[in-house]
Amino acid sequence: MNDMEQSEIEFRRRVKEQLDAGISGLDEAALARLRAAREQALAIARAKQRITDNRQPFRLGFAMAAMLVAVMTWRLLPTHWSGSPPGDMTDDLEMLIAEDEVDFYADMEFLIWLEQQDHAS
Amino acid sequence: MYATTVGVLIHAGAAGSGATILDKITQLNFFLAQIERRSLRIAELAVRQREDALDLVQESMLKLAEKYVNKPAEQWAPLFYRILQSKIRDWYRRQAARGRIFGALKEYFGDDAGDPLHLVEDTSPGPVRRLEIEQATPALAEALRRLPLRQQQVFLLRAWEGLDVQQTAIAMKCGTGSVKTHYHRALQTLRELLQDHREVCGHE
Repeated sequence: MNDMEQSEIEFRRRVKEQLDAGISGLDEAALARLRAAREQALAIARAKQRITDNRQPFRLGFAMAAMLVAVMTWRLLPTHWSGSPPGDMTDDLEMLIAEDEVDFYADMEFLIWLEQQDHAS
Repeated sequence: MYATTVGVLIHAGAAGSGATILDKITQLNFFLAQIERRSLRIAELAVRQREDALDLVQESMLKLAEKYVNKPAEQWAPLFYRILQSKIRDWYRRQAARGRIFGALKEYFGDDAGDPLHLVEDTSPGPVRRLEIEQATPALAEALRRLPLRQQQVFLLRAWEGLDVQQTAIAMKCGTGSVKTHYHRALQTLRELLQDHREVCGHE
C-alpha cells in the first residue's frame, strides 16, 4: 500500500468518525420519528410475509396439479392415442385442471395407483 | 458493516415457516435500526431540511418493506439507498416546480403580493438544532454541502455507509465508472476544502 492510499484511508476514517459523532447527538423528536417509521415498515413487512406465506399451499397445489396432468398424459397417450385425443381423455384432463381442491392433487400417488388398477382390470 | 451481522442472523435462523417469518422481520428491524440515523443525515445533507429528510427516509423504509422484504437481506442496503436517492431526486423536482410556480405568481402579481413562501410552514431545523449540527462537524458539514449533489451522495454512500462500488452504482442508478469518478472528485474537493482542519485531514 503506497502513501497516497494510506492517506486516503486515514482521511476516510477521520471523515467517518466526524460523521458518526454528528449523528450520535440526534434529538429525541427525530429518533422518535425514525422509530415510528421503522415500526410502520415492520408492520407492512409482517403483512406482506403473511400474504406470501398463505399463497404457498396454492403454489404447491398448482405445481402438483401440473405434474399430475403431465404424468397422466404420459401414461394415457401410448395406450389410447389414435390420431386425435379421445373425448373421454380430454374430459378427464379438463376435469383435473378445473379441480380446485388442493388435497385432491396432493394425493398423487393414490391417483396413479388407481389409474394403474383401472388399466389392469 | 451491517451485512456481516445480518448474515449471521440469517445463518442462525431456525427452521420452520413461523421461525423464518420472525427471522426476516428481525433482520429487517435490525437493518433499519442500523441505517436509520445515517440515512437521515445523508438525506438531510442533500435536501438541507430535517423534516423533509425525515419524510424521505420514512417513505423509503415503507417502500423497502412493501416491495423488497423477500429479497435477500444482503441486497437491502443498495435497494434502500436506491429508493432514497429516487425520493431525493423527486424532492428536487418538486422544489424546482414549486419555484417555477411561485416565480410565475410573483411575476404576475408583482412584488406587492408578497412572497408566497411565507405562507408555507417553516420546516427547517430550529436554532438550537442548527447550532448542534454546526458544532458537531462544522467544517466537514459545510464542505459536504458545497459538493455537487451526486458527488456528495456517492461519497457518503462509499465512505460512510460502506457500500462498495457496485452497490453504490445500484443505489445511484449509474455505472461503476461514474461512481469512481464522482467519488474521486469528491475526495479531492473535500481534501482541498478541509486542508486547514486538522481534525479531518490529520495534519500536525
